[in-house]
Amino acid sequence: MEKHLLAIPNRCTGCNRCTYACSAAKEGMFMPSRARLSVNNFPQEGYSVPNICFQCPRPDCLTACPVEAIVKNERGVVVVESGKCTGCGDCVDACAYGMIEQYTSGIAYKCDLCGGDPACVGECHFGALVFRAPDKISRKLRGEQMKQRMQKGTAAEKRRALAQNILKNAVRIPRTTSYMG
Amino acid sequence: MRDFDDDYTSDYKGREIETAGEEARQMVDIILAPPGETSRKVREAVARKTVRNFRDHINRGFLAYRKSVTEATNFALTEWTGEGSVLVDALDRKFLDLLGGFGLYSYGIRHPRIIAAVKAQLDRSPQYSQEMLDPLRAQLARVLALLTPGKIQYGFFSNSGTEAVEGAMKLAKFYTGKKGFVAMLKGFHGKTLGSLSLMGKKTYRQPLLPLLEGVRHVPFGDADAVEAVLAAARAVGDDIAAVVAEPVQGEAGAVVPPDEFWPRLREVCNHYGVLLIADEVQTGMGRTGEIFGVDHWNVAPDILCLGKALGGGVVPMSAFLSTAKIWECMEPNPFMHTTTTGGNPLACAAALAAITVLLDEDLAGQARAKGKYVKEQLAQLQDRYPGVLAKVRGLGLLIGMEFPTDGIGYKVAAGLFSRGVLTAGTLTNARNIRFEPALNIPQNILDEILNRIEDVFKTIEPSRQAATAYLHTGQVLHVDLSNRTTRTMPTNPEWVRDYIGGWGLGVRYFVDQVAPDVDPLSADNALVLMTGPMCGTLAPTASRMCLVSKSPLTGTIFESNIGGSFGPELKFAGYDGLVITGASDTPVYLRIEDDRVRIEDAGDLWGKGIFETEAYLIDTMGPQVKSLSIGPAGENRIPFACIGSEAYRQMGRGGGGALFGAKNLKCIAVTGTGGVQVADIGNFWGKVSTARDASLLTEDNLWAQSDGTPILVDLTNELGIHPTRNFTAGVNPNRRGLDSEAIKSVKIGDRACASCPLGCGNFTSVDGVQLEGPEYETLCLGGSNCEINDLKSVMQFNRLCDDVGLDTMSTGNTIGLAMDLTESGRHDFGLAFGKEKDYLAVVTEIAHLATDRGRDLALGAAALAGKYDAEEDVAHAKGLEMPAYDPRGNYGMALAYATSERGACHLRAFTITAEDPFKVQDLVRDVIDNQNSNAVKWCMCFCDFWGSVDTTLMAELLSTGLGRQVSADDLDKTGERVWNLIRLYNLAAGFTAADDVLSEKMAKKALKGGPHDGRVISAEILEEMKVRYYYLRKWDEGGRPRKEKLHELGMDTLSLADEI
Repeated sequence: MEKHLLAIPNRCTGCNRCTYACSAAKEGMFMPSRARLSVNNFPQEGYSVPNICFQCPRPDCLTACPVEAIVKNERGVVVVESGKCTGCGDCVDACAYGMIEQYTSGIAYKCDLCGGDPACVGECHFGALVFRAPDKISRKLRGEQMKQRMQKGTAAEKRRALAQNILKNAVRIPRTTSYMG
Repeated sequence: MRDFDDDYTSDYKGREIETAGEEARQMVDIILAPPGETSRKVREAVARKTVRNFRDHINRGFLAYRKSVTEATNFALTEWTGEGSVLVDALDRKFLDLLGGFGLYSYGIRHPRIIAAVKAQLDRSPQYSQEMLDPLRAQLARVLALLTPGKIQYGFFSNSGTEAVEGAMKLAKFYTGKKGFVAMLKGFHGKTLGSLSLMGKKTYRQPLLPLLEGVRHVPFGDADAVEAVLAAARAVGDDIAAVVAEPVQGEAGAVVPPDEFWPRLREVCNHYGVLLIADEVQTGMGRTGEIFGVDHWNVAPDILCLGKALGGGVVPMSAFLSTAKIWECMEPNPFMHTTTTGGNPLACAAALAAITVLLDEDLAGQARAKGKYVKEQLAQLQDRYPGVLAKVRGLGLLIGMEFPTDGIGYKVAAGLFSRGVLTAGTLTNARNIRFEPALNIPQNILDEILNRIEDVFKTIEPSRQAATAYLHTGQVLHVDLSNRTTRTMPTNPEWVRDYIGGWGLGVRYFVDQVAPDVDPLSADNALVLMTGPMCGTLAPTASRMCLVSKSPLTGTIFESNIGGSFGPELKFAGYDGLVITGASDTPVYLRIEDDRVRIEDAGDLWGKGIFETEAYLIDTMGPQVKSLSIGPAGENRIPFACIGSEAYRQMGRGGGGALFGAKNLKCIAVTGTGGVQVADIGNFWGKVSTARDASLLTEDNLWAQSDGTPILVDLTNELGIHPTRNFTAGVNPNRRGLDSEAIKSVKIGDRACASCPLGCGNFTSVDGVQLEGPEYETLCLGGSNCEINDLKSVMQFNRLCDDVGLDTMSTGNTIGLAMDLTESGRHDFGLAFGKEKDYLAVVTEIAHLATDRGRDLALGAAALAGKYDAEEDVAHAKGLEMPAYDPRGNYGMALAYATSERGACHLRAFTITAEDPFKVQDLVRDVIDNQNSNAVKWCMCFCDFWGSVDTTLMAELLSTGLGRQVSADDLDKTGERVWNLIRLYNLAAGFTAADDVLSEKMAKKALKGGPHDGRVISAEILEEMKVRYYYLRKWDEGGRPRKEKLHELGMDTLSLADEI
């Protein structure tokens, strides 16, 4: 993969423009509950964590799918072929990050990086979501986020638990030019 | 997990006997566990496995159709237990049973008398030997012979309804020696090959043709058609054995035939020598309000089929019964029709016990009375929601609701499901939904079900209208706390056209609801909370929402708004706004989860701070919850109590918190999963992106991103209008600890309201004191005005106010006054300028009314000054404490404060950057223009900090989103309309031009220090400005809107216009 999507929680203001944009791009309306990424806000702590799909190298959702409706495409993006999806929900259980969900019909949906130009990144004015070639620092940050895996709960519960961990471990200092966490 | 996708038919080894045994044992263990002792973990595992097993071993097709799977949030609804009319699933979720297992549960689930009989028989003899004579079967046949109408005397017992029909068909053929049947269109008699031949629906029948020969179908209820077919059949020698019909068609949607139908059938059958079979599988045993359906017309059939409820809802059981004469044909060889398990002792015990319940509890009578009641109630609903409920029909408690489309029917079924009511109705077949509960369903459960049905209808009716309304959800939630009722009503489209949303729409709803003379803290006052059209979209800064009510501090109509994400969440839940009336007699909170609205007890929350309240709501409703809450200050009705949200955001001014408190309303909590639609998403997105880059994120506004409001500390000091030491001085020379640089040095993160790319919020941290803020007003009124120049102390003050729910502006202003009174020796409040300890302590004392000084300060600055004869020391207008811009250094602000509907407010007009702050003529025009254009901004619910947005740009965005043209001129008119409407209301409430003034201090005490040292704003100058202001607004000298102005704005028909 040439570029990867990176979330930098220390920069996130919790404005949710990313989820508005995502749902507008994917659902044709502003509906954050159906966005392919989410923002977990902790207003008391003044902190927000964007939850994103990492397009895992070995995706559990893909492995769990009993009908091979989830595939990794030529760009390394994990996509749902909704025509094949039977709505069993095994992928939802399998994803340790809570980043694949189902419509009420059961059909699964997830982030596909908008074919290489993610709408969420375009609306993030504080640089909390970036889409770029991996480097040492971004790989490290991503690695730390991916290390925490949640096996229990609904997709939303897993995302919340992850976000709580990130908040717990966050190093928050007065702003400098390049703080990434 | 084994892979079952492969074809194992040719592979004999494709089995795992050990696993089979093991899994069977596991399930038996679960079955054997005493009730209530299976752990949740095990039950969750069962729920998960059940879905997989259905998928892999029953039929995965069901999963796509059953609401218990498609509409369930996390775990599919998994059968576990139940009692009476309540089902409980494996995860303890309760459902009221409206389905009654399609007529199976006529006596309720697990009727104790039936269960007892079956258990006792189970311990004696569950099946029979097939050789000895079994007493139960024999006795049951006799009991049924006595119970059934006419000459019915013999019976044959089987396991399911379709078997009963099969038997009846065989009997008719034996007896008559003929082969044909006449059945009814849309009839349903079962799905085995014989009974399927009688089926009146193409879907189930066509793929299996040819079925039994000689079956004809006629319209149900048309006896002439039956006669015609019988006549024709006789004429061609292709004779008919029997006519088969349900007394009331069940599957077809509880279709009741005309009264003459059954008597005529009897006549016609007699005439043609054809048997009459009544399929009472669903209608029998009291369901329709008589013991059997045919009892309604006093018709005795030749053969009667029973099933479903016959087994008491406990054991499968069915029967066909007939007369001695007909039964004779079975006697020569009784083995022509037999069954091994039909009529087994368990089933007979169940049926006998069921019949005792049927008679002892008069279930037929109950069905008759309740059926009548339900039909009346549904007829009323049909009147109210004609677009949702098309028809109601049925007899007794076999009632059918018909919807205009499958889609609406499914929405009803799904809505009921989400509200804990179990019904039929699948994605593809939901046009008719049966209302078929247990016949002994308690009245309170029946009423609850009817309530929930109305709840669901409410959500469907307005949203149908809203389908064409973009940006708005099209419905407003009305909550009556006195009667604890909630109701959604379509958002008034004319008011939306004239007042757009937010402030304007809120005012329009409010003046319609509350008479001008109402006491703000009485139950007659209302709270109107209104979002704007752009709320919940990518239009930047549009997430604010407005509260409109009558202020306990000023007695006027007022508006207070808030950012954050409550507004969008409310909209995603499906509401443009809320109208809250009445008052609860005990503490409650309003809980909104999409279309599910509840008024919940808040006894445990009462007394708690806002932070703790929000933590409770997150625990209860999940992290997505957004709320508006009050702290102790609101509960104690402190007139400057605020409403808090997301810890550090407030509807601060005017005492909204006290209004919540007076209604015993602790908080409003909402989660929403819906969305906001716009007319043309691509075009809209393009337009808002352009507006964002070309107008919002420009030099005019980027101060908000780089600094936020603390930038005003230096600016107001330069301008000499920075209230210091209880509005004594216009500059604070010791402000370095409070300015923007100080804030930046302790800022650890940026915060933003929903959908705002500016992100003006500064999250700060000093020695463990953390919060979002302080904002300029707090830095000045809680800082400079009290001569508290230590940032950490102001942060502590800010956090305290946020938690107990006090407006920092009014609180800082009032404490400053008390410090002044103490130091000047008028009254000792134990407070002194610059003394942090008591300054912080008194905040809590105010909120809790804990001390004498706390109770005094809780009056607010104006009343405190009144009490201690300090009219010349206090800074307010109409009772609202003055904000952090001294009007003596800017006469525009003086006029803005004096003419504001809610008293001294900096958000109505803001002229601090005027070239000449004392050039009266220009300033009057500026104030009016600014008031009008800000009014439009608050109707659109854009943020104050989008300073460069104008009505042209707003009209362009609105037109694109709505898909209809709105002009800048329309919006300008809206701004004026708002100002005229609030003016009319305040006039009717008794306010006059004499109230458009500032407190005496502004005229009598000169400002000290800075560029405007020595300035006052004299009553004469203010009067001169007012005269000009009224004149330009086309108001008369008493500040009353003139007729021609109201006519120009299309407001002359308002009743308020007559009142003045």
